[in-house]
Amino acid sequence: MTNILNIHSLSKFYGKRQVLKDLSIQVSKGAVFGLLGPNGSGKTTTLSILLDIVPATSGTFDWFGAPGSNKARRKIGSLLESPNFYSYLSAEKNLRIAADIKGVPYSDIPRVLEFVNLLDRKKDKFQIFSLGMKQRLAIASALLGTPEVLILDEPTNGLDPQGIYEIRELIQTISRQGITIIIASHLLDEVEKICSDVAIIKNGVMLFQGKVAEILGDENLVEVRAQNMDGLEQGLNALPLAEKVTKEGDLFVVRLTAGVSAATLNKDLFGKGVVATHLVSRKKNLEFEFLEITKEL
Amino acid sequence: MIRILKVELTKVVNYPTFWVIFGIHLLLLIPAVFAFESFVQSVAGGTGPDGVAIQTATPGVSIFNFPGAWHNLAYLASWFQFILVILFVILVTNEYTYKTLRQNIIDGLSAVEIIAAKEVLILFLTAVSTLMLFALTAALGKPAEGVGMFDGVVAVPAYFMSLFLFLHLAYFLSSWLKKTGLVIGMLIIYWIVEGIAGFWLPDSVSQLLPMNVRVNMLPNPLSEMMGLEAVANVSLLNGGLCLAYAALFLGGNYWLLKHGHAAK
Repeated sequence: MTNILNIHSLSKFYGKRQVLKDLSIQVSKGAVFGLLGPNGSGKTTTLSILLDIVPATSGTFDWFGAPGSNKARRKIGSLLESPNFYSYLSAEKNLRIAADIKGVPYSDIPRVLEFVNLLDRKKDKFQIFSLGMKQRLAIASALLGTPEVLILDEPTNGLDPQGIYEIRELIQTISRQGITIIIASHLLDEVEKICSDVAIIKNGVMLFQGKVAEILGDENLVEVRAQNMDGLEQGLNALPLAEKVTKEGDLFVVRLTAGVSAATLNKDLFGKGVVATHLVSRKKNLEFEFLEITKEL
Repeated sequence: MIRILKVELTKVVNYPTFWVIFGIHLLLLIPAVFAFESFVQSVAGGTGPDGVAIQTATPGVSIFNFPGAWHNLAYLASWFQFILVILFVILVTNEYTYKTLRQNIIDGLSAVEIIAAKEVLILFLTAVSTLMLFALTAALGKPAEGVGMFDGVVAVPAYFMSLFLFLHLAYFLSSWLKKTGLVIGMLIIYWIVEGIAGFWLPDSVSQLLPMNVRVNMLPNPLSEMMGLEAVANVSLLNGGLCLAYAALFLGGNYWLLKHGHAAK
């Protein structure tokens, strides 16, 4: 699969402080790529470098197989942090400016306004828009001319639950159109819900890059508790399908052989005379894995 | 290039502040011209405001007499350049305040295109202001015997160059400092500092500094009007210096853009 973006050992210093350390990332075509990291980890700096508003101290990147340029940026729709528009201009005129810069005909403006449900507000000035509407207008602007890549930096920042839901729906609809999406976020839940690939960075260092499914893995974990905990421990240790048993607080976490269900475990335990009072399949979540991965540093 | 012009046009034409300040600039000059004339009459005309004859009177003096009319009105108008400079500073610093310059870059404008757009705006403001000066002088000027109407018209290009230089200085300071009030304050402070520096620096150096070049292009015409000394100094040197400074300030802007100043 071809890469739409290649970053080769990018570093950035602000004065003496190094905010990016030798960062290399590849984003393949059609991916929904999550750039994940705590606040201040270098996500926005990375995107700013990729969009030529901040120069890198060292390292290179290429878009669509060629070094970054203003021509490449016209094929990228971006929403970096807050929506930035001319407050005295109407939604439509603001989009005209973006359309002229990107070389997109004005006839595309109604389409993108319709897509974010702002067509009937096109004559309204940007300054009277709510934050959710501003964010939607920014997405409309980013979609002008159907870009090959969409970059979203904390797209749901500051939105109410309804707004967050709307933006997520939009992102998923856009992704289904085959547009590659790069999302920077510190909201793990968000990335888990919408991304196919993820890179985790902390303090400007890449900790992990791979498929979201890879992080979440297919480990088969079950929590078990019984009245007789000693009997439970002996029973578990005697079962071949329990590959690993660890005590966590007042319960045991058991890793089962792949394909074995919690029901089988329950039956086998019962066969050994142990009655479980608590038996829950544990699904790994990104939050847990993220904390594990970022703890290492 | 047409693309960039359309972008700049959409920004400016729909900005009410632009029309208000630009209008003030055009309209204020007309009453100012007549106020200047009545001031000149009161100090150098036949009789003072209370009907007392003035000892130092210069017979027939008027700011509207050709060939001096060009220089007199251009000098007066050069004070109103500050209004256009403030307007321009607002237009440039707004793009930093509202992060729209950053957005323009993200959307795909190059550093050269950004500067070209503002350069077009500078040329537009300078050209319209100069045309207005030309039209006003041509309409109000009084012909005199043995003097062609366009004899002193060199003051008009001098006015153009002085505004051109002033706006480029303002452009650089706006990009560098980004805050409207700070830029206007710095322009005034710089003007004063250059004046003070003139006391220490030899004339050959201080006369080459940007604000002095501006002033030397269009010096105060009052003394000349009263026949004391001839001061018109629209030299090739000053014109060349204006262009050189404009190029220097544009280069500074390019450097700032290339070093990520828009995002800081």
